[in-house]
Amino acid sequence: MRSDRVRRTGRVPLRCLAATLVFAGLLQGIGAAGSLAAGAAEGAATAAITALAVNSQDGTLWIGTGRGLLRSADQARTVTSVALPTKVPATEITAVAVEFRSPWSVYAAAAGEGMFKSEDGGKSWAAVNSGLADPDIRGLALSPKDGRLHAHVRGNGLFVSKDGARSWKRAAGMSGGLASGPAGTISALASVNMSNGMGGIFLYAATDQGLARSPD
Amino acid sequence: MGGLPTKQAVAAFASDPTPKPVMFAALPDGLWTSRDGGKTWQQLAKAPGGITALAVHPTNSGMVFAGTKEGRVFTTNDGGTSWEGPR
Repeated sequence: MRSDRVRRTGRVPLRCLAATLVFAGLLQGIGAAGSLAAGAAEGAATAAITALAVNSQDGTLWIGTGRGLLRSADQARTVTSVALPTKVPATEITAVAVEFRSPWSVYAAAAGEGMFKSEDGGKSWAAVNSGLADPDIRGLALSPKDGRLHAHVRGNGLFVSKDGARSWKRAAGMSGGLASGPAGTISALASVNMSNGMGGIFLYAATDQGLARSPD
Repeated sequence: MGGLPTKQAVAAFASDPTPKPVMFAALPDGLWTSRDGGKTWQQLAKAPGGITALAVHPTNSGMVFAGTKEGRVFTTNDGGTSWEGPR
């Protein structure tokens, strides 16, 4: 890696782990708001970054991690833990998306717990899983053109929602095998707005076997 | 997807929402970008290692965030030419 030329923004300590770490005797002065600058729990209270999304209006950065959801108003200098109504606290976040034209609408998928949506910038959340075959969502794409959502449900392929995740149905008619789920394990899903060629929205899937795409 | 290595794991992918999107893909050998809708790809000379998540600012495609498996977040304001953090 070329990290010798890259200055680190900071590790992301997780406030949601704070109580556990205190009891474990591992925490040494983590900031009350999970400040990156106060990341004294480095090495103990870090988790992989699993998803990122940005609010188009105020630049709020949503950070999915292996142990919960965070948000930052200052490009990850400081972060705040966001509590989702999951059964298991600090569940792995597998996908995050923010609506382009209505950036107070935020979606977050939690491993094995399904999709959650906030319409007030993360103050409150509701589960939005009606029609999904399974709550194990591994990818989420949000069309910048019309707000259409695609979710990849592990072992069940792609599901689509045209009503802001109120209801889901199986995606069909997509080339490249994306409807049934691309080959390999998905790490990210994205809707891309194309003006070249035939134009339109293309769905991209990052997988452990390469990058796949299909017209939406 | 000319130039982008095939049969390699892609750990993260992101683009901006414009009709001429800038795309980024994290592969084992580094971070790749396309500025022509995915026709051609170039590897960035500098990039954080171990990227597991990416996001492009929706209204400023030069601003990109990269999250890593170690729980770090890096930022570039020039499309990936240089990477840094605020502290």
